[in-house]
Amino acid sequence: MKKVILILLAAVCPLLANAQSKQISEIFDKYEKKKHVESIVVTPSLLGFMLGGEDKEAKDLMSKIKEIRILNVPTNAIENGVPLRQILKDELDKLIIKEQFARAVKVNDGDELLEVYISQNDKGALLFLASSTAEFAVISIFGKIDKEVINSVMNGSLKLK
Amino acid sequence: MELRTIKKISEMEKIQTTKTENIRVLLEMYFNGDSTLQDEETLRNYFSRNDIDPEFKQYSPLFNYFSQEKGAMDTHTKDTHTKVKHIFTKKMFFSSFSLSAAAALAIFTFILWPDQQKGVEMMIGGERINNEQLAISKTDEQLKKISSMMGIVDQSTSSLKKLSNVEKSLSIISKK
Repeated sequence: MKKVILILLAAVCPLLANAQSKQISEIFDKYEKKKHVESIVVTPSLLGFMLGGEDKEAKDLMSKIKEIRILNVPTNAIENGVPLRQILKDELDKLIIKEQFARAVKVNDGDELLEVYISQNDKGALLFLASSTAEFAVISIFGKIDKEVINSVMNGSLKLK
Repeated sequence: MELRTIKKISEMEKIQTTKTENIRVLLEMYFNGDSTLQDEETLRNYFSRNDIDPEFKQYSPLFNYFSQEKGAMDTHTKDTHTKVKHIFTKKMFFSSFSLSAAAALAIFTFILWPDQQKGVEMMIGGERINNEQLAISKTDEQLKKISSMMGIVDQSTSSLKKLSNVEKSLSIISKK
């Protein structure tokens, strides 16, 4: 019986993780088509090219990150009289609660607010919600999210240039 | 009436005798190696019949064997031809199939793949912007922003560490 439960859990966990990334991707897909919204998708091929090389750490990072997506909603983007950034934030908040994302950090620096959420499963997404007076940015890193990936973003070693 | 019948029979016998004579001559020529292809064909035709002269019956298996062999050879040649044709068609099909597959792959690789494998995709207001450099710099800008904000966290945690160190030192002093 235990074995059956373990097998079921092993089978369901990746599905759950995929479901989390899928739902975030769906939000990105939905908002990138809206007026004034800026969207960037960094595909694995560029990540491989930019992060690749002889550096072992970079190679390791490259193998873990599957995709980076950025959504930038300026404050002046309005939909049905409501700021679009507010609509997006509400939708993301609902998803975070529903999918039980864990809040890792919340930094408030003057007008800027940064919240970092991690999906429960390591094969999910690392979600950054950066809010300022000018815009609301959502950055999502998809892949195998572990300590190295989180550290690379935090210490600035994850860069494309 | 009787006379006519007798005459007819004798005529037929004459023809038969001539035919037998002919066959004998042809057979002699055949065994001497002087027969032509046409003579051999006549012999084969003769031996394929049922009314063979008892005198020549002993040669019947030889010529029947040849005619059977010839027939078999003809069928075999026909079969082989069909088989070759079949293989050829099959080969043709596979080669044309592989050629089309290769062509499709080439089209996919050189025309469609670069679009699919574009390193970075950027959209503003739902419109695709083909400016990779701009997209990369914008991505880096966002990543820098995050790391600079995280720097604050780092500072705060290091301050906390310092504070805990101070507490440790103070606890040692207070113990003394």
